[in-house]
Amino acid sequence: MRLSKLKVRNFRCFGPEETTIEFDKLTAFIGCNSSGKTAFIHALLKIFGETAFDHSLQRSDFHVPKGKAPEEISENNLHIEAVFTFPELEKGDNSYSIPIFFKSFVVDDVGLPLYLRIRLEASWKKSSSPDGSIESKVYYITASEEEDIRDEDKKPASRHDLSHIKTIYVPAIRNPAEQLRNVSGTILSRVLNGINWSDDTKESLKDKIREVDAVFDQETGVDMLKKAVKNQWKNYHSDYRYTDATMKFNSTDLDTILKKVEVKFSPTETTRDYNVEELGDGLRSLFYLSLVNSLLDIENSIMKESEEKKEGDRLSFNITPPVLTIVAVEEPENHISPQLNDIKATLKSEGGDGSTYSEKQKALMVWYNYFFLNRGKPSTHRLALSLINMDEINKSLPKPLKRIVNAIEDALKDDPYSAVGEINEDK
Amino acid sequence: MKINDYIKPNLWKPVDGLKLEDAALHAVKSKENTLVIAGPGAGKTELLAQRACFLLQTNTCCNPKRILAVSFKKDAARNLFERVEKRCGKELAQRFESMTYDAFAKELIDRFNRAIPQAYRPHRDYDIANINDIRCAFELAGFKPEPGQRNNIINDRLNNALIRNKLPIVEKDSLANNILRNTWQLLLNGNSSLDFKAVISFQMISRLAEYLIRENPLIKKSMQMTYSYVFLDEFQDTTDIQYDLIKTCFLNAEVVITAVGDSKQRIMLWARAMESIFVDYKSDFNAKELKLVMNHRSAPRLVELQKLLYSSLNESDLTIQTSPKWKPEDGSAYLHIFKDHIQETDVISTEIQNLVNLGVKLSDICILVKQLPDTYAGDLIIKLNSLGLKSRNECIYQDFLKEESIKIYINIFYLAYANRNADAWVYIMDTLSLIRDFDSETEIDKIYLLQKELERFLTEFKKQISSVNSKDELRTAICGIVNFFGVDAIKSTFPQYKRGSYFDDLIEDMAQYLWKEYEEVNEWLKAVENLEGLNSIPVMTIHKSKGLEYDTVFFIGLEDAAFWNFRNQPDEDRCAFFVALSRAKRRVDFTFSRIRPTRFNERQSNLGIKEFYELLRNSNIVQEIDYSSR
Repeated sequence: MRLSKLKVRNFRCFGPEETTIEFDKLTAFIGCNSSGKTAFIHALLKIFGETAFDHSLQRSDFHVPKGKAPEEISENNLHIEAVFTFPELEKGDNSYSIPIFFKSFVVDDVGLPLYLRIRLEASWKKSSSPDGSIESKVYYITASEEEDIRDEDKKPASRHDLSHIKTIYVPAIRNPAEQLRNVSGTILSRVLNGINWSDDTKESLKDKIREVDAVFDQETGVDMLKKAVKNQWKNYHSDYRYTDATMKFNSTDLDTILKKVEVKFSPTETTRDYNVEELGDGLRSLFYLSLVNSLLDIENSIMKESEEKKEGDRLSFNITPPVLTIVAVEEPENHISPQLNDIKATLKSEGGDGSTYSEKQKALMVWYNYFFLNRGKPSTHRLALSLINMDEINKSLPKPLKRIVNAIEDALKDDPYSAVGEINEDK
Repeated sequence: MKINDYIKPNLWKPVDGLKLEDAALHAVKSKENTLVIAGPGAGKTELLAQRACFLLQTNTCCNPKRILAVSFKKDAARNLFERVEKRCGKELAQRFESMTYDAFAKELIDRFNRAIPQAYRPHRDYDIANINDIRCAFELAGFKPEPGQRNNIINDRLNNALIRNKLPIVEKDSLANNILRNTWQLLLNGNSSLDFKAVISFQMISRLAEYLIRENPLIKKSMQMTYSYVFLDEFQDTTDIQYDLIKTCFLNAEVVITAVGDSKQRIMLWARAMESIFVDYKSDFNAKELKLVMNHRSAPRLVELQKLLYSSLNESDLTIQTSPKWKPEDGSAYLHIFKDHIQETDVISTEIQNLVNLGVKLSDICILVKQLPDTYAGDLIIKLNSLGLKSRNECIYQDFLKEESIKIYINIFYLAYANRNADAWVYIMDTLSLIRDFDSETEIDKIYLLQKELERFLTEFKKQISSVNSKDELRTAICGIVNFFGVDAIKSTFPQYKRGSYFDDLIEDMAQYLWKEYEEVNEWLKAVENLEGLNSIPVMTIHKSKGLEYDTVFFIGLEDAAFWNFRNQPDEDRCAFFVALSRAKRRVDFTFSRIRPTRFNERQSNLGIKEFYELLRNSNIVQEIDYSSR
């Protein structure tokens, strides 16, 4: 399953004329500031983001035409449509995505490949509240792209179905500390909560905690403090409920322990370990990417494990990964030097094509500069230079970059599958 | 469903503590194509539901692959789905699809319209054709009927010609072939200069779907990748057109088919059901035959009576086992002979009165007729109603009550008037979250607001209903429910309401039927229950009674006029008689009335179907009571 197209209309900077951008396995958006690169990523998140917050639309998501004041508009409609293709079907590979979406496939003509259209439609109306009222719904469109969409061609798509497609957004400003907190929606919680904890582990944890408590109790100071707390409380409270006030020096169960999980970096310049906030900007950013990759790696292993599972085997995880993960990386120009490598790292460390279950697809975004593709087989990627106003770019590009962009462009003109990697080395 | 929650196949037990007989358990766990012969009361729906549970709960139908169950009637499809949902929970049931043959085929040709070869691609906005549309198209294409032939015979012949063969129609240089091809074109695309709109029948739709799958290997392959298990219900009724479709979709694929049926209940030959379907399927799909021997429904003596029919239905002698809940002497059958239908009405209504006095619920009694419920049971309905024993012709209500929109209205009434009806609350909240596209797990705040909104609406609604004084005001109140849900929202969630005036017609029907009930009882809760048929005796034809069961069944008019075509279709009529007989759990009554006004004549005879009488009389089970000399 692949994302092949994204169409937006009246979304943020995209006006009433529908804008279509085609995707390949690897796609890059290069464009001027405010040309809509991030808007595309957000368009994807509105449908395939992880949390309800990602999906929610604001008034500011609705396009305001040039020369119009927002107050002049009393209602507005937008849509975002994602089109997916299924190359595995022609290849005859097993597919996890086809059974999930078969009921919504469409086709253009006899014998042609099947595809899937998922479309978010939203309307905004002026209302008594300052933000107006917004209604939105996600549909499968069960008509071919070459036909008009009638009412009966819109079939509501359930959140459950949509959760099989995920977009991971790696923003330009990366704060891995946020993703490392074990709260709902973060990368860490997604994995931690999926671990298939065995009863043995839970039991032996309890035993160990009791042992630790006993160690504390041997300290006479601790013992005195505990007793004082307990006894004083009795003077204040006579109800049977809550009579026993016992001081605990560590977590009592698995859940509380998990809340405190953190990543430590060592060795350091000092004697103690660092946590992620203490790393420099560049390293933090790198670590964020490596975290995303860890998640993708784990998802691949989960699938491999359950595919190779024999009856009675215990699985390490209890989660079913999405059938398609779209990774959107935002690379701002001010990140240049360290990020050069981390883009490469992201692309390289993808779990290969070993598992057909969870396809990974990457949309790479670069802010107003250049980027490099250097993965094992460059011929599998095409560089999509959509949305670029080359003239404008050329005007403002520094000379060395101009050369690179032109080189990429030329290479693509002759052969869209050319090895972009070589250009990279030239620099 | 978490991966580790799946049950190991060898540890799986039938869900909800049910016990399955050996053959059934075998069918439930089978990894091969099977034909399950399931007589009346064998628990066909339960068997399929348990099989779905087995496949899903053990992940034998490997996530995310799906199960497809195909039935003939909308309510059968829905009942099966509800049973699966109840047995294995909502989450797993999402991978279980239950639909009718018609819906299955129509969905394919609508969605893949463009994959149908150009010459047979229907207009996107076609309507469903009836037999008159087809006749009209034939005449526009140049067909001229021979004078003197009966219209319905001509129509049947034309329709048969239209759908007899797979598409495309082989081109021949003959007038008949030309007319046939032109008729197809007219029906598929309409013709504006002739003022003829595109209309196609469900039989044509099935032919088109088969053609579509045959011509599009990718669609076929993705369908086979999607459904790894297929259930075929009421298999004895499968038509040649449907079987062609099934074969094109699933023959030689890695798809396991479970077909369930009973040749003894084959009463749809007139609608093209294939006589040879069991034999064909067994050889085409290399399917193994499994016979169920339990009859969970009928009492032992009634099962004895059913077995007497086996030899004339070409069924080998089987030891049918009855449920242990019965005593061996349980079950009774009567044959009533009347001098006329007036006497019949008196006696039968008294019999029913007695049953009700003994505690049998009205909805557990059924009045069956071969056809024409009003001719055969019209007087009886009036008489029963005058005795306060509500009864009604169920034909109009059966499909009506299964409509999604009607279920919404009915459940809103329950919420407004019944004391804490939890089922209705869950149903309405689920439907509302579905329509508003809320995720009940993550959007708890929204769900909470929705509950408040619903409570406010119910208060308003109750206020409005309490002042309703006419059918029109009731319709306005029902429209209030529609507005609360949102017309567009309902229509987009349930696409069947998008076309034409169907949705509005249902509102009109709802207002009319419910108002009628309300006028009788003057109490809304009771009126809604009555509309649902909870407090009345259903009256229906044998064909409508398929798959249903009742404590006591009164079959009115075991007469030649009712079985008027017995000489031409003895097998099918024997099956019909068998179906009627096997609906009863505890008691079955047959009536014969010497005088009865029917469309043929007043004087009734039973010589034509004397084999039924011989069977009943020689059974030592049926008690015959002759009232005609009294």
